[in-house]
Amino acid sequence: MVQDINPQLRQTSSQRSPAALLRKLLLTREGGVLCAVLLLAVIFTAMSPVFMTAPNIINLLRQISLLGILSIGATFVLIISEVDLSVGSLYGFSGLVAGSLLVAGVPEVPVIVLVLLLGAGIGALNGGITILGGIPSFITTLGTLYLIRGITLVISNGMAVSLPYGSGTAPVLKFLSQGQVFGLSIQVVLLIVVALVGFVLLHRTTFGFHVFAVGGNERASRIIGVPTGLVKVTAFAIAGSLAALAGMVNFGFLENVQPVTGSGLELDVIAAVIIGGTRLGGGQGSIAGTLLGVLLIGIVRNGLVLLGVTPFWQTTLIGAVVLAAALIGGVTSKNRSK
Amino acid sequence: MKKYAIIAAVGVAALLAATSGFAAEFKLSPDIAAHAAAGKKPVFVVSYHDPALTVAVPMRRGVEAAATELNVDAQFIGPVGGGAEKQVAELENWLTKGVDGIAVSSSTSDALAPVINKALAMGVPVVTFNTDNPKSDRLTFVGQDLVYSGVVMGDTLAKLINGKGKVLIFSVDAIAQWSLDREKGAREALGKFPDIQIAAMVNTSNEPQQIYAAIENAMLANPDITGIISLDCCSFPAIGQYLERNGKSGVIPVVGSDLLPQTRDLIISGALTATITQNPQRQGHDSVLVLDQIYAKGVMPPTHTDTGVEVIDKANVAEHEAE
Repeated sequence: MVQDINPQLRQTSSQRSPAALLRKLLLTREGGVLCAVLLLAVIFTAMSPVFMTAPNIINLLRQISLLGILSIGATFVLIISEVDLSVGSLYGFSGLVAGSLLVAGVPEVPVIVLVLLLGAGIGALNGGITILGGIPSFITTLGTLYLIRGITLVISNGMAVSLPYGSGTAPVLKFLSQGQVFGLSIQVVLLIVVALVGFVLLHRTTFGFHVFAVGGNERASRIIGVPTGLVKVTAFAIAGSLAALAGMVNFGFLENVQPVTGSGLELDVIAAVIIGGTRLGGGQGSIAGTLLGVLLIGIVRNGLVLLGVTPFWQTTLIGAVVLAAALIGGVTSKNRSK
Repeated sequence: MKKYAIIAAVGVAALLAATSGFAAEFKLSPDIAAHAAAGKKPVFVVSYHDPALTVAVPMRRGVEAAATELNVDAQFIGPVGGGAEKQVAELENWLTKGVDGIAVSSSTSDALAPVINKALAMGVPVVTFNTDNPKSDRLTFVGQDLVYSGVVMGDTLAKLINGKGKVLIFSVDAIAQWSLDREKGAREALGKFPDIQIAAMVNTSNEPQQIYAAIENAMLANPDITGIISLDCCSFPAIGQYLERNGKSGVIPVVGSDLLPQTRDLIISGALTATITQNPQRQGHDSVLVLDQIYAKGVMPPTHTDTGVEVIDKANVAEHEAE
């Protein structure tokens, strides 16, 4: 008979076994979506010889960059238990404003700074109206969604704005959107930088702590002295400035912006953040989870085209996968709370 | 514009015999007939299925030009961002308000046919433009034969690739009627060449980033593509951008639709090969012209007022302005 000399040690060892680590990973907020991402990657790799190739991975990362930047901003807003439906309109508006000013010959750096400030300002306005007016942010930003889109159509008169073909206009913006480092698009680098800044801000600063506190229990936060209004306005301003950044990069990449650019994008953004484990009711969420949510949406779109799935099935399958990912996330969340 | 007016007037007169059965029976409502008899300036609405699309800009210009030329009040309307139910609601509101004629480019035939027939039953003349609505009793269709334009796209590409190879077809909205019609035509034309294989029909959606991403993905999945067709205005220049950025400009022939400013630049640069224009400005203009002829002169149009198909490539692009 073997004597159990150290049960505690044995237990620790079992906790470190691959199965236990996997179980622990699956029970994290991001575990469910990570699982879905890996599963899809395996399926698409098995079905398409192109999926797991370097050129496709590079394309895929670029394709998700702008959605990623937008979604990181939206993560702050959703964690404070609010929602911003105007980011798609702001994305199109920012590109159009930047494009119009650049085509008119306004120097590039002031244009970039101005549009970023404009985005932050509109975001802050969303937050301000919501707080001061006592209006649900769903309603406020639904209003600004239409307002900004309408202004975009009015100032453009329905016409697209394009950079003059082959001109040297907007070299900085073109570099930020079309440039490459080691074969990787600068857009991806931009996403990494935004994600790192977002991570530090959300998970390593007092402001980030306040964001979670306000989303978890706004009243209690106010009682303990958290400036809830300021936190909310700042979260909206972050989302607005990142929408403006993404809108400008989109313009720099395509060298063209249409007045309807970004229509419906807010739904992709919200889907990515929710799939990534951010609680719609606020108080929970992470930058890593959001990035996984964005990656999942990107993989589905990418993989279905690679497989040559017919257009009618693509939409259906995207919906089904998003739903499945959300369900997996829900199951792991329930297990986590047990 | 005068040139268009003459061509359309001659076409209307010459094809009067081809007037449809319904059009021959159609009578203006007493109110509209009284307006016309009194020489009152008519109010026409030209409803496009998404007036925020780039291709709508020249249409609106055509409508405005016709309004000035014919001294009528012609308004270019439609649901921004698209949506059949919004288009139907808007037209119903105009019918309630009172209008002397309607031109419609339908989001979908099924959804718009009842409101078109309702207007006709009220004695309001209705014509379709750009995208026909064969399920309705519309008096005429002003525009390009979309199936035929698809045939021209297919024929043009087949010649460029010497009747053999693998072809990709792109559309921003593969389920829209205009896309289905053009796809049908293109497949018909390419189907005559047994050595041409259609590798995939790619739906890019309308979002510019997604359009570019779908092109990247499809090109990566089909590296042996020898020819491309874009069925619409808006995925076409993105294909040119993709080819130019990936060192394939001029290597793979691309045939598409419309002559947007970016498309024109990319045909000149050689990244795009040929475009089939549908003359959107003339479509807008002639819709108003046909309505005015029905209103003022009681002239019933033929069942189709063709605005033609023209192939523009590097050889003749300099003769054409961007639309």
